[in-house]
Amino acid sequence: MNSVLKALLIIVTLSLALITGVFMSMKMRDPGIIAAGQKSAASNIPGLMWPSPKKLSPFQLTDHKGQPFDLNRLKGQWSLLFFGYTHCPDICPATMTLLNAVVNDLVKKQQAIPQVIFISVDPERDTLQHLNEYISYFNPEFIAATDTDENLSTLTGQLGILSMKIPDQDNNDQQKYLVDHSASILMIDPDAQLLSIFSAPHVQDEIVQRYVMIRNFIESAN
Amino acid sequence: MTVLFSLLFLLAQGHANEEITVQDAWIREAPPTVKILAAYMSVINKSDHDLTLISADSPAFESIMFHRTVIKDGVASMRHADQIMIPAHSRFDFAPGAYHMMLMGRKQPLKAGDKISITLLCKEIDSIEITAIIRNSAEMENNHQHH
Repeated sequence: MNSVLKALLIIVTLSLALITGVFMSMKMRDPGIIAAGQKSAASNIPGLMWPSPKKLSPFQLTDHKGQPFDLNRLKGQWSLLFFGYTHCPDICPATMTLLNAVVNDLVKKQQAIPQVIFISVDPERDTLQHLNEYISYFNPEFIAATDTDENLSTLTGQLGILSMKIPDQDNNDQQKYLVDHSASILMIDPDAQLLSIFSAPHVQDEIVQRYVMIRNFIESAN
Repeated sequence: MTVLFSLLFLLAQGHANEEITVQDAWIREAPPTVKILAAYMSVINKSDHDLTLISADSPAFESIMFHRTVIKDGVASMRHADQIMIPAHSRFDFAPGAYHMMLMGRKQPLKAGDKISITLLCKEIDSIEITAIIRNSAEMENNHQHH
């Protein structure tokens, strides 16, 4: 009788443990519960698109070395993207200089650095050779890319990047036009998803802070 | 840094005149292939009347225009400003991301440390000769961060 009771007790205890275990593991795996926790953490990071970042679809550009620059080049590493044109004297060189300062700051803070990509929305004047000399001035590790208007729009369309050629009313020279363009810096994760948009005017410390916060958050969530 | 500041001080002194002072005139050094650069400065109107800058000219460039970078809904555009009015006893800053002189058609290679003369034409007074120094903006804009 005693041994029967004992056996019963063991069975009940084991069953309880099993049920608890199954319940716990269900709870752990419930994406709803995890997302809710992450969502509240993510809401503390300004401008983070989470939990639904924009997954980029394929595009085809060419980089300053003549190599294809496509979706695969955004995979496996973090990226900061900026769109501009080399005939832009104020905001483009200022932003590229700032991005170089951001990278230097991350190195100083012993943080992993992103690849930095300048995409010219003015393929008419920005030849690959021109882009090569332009980008290496700011940082030899930076990448510059462009392509036909059609190929550019495959990428800019997904990212909500605008650009518009503005003829210079004081200049009849067809080569002397300006280009209005989005001045935001885009942060792309190693799965080629747009995670955050940093709007101009850009401040170095803010970009560094947000970049590190977002990266830490995503890497701890994975 | 001290050298830079004393140099700026000297430059600022050099541009002093009774009614107008131009301080800290500089041009952002650009990649060698770039022919369009931007110049920045602070203009101080010390007089009792408004002053209007109507144009600028430099032997180092084909032409100069006053421009303003405007960011609206995340899109940056440059707007041409015909003239720049500086009210009596006030200061007008040409600064990155805002008003600048767009220097077009660079005639010779320019490197950090080079000095370029620019003539500012003013409606109310004689033209003003200034000297702008080419600067590597990596140092410049970094310093601005910590003001």
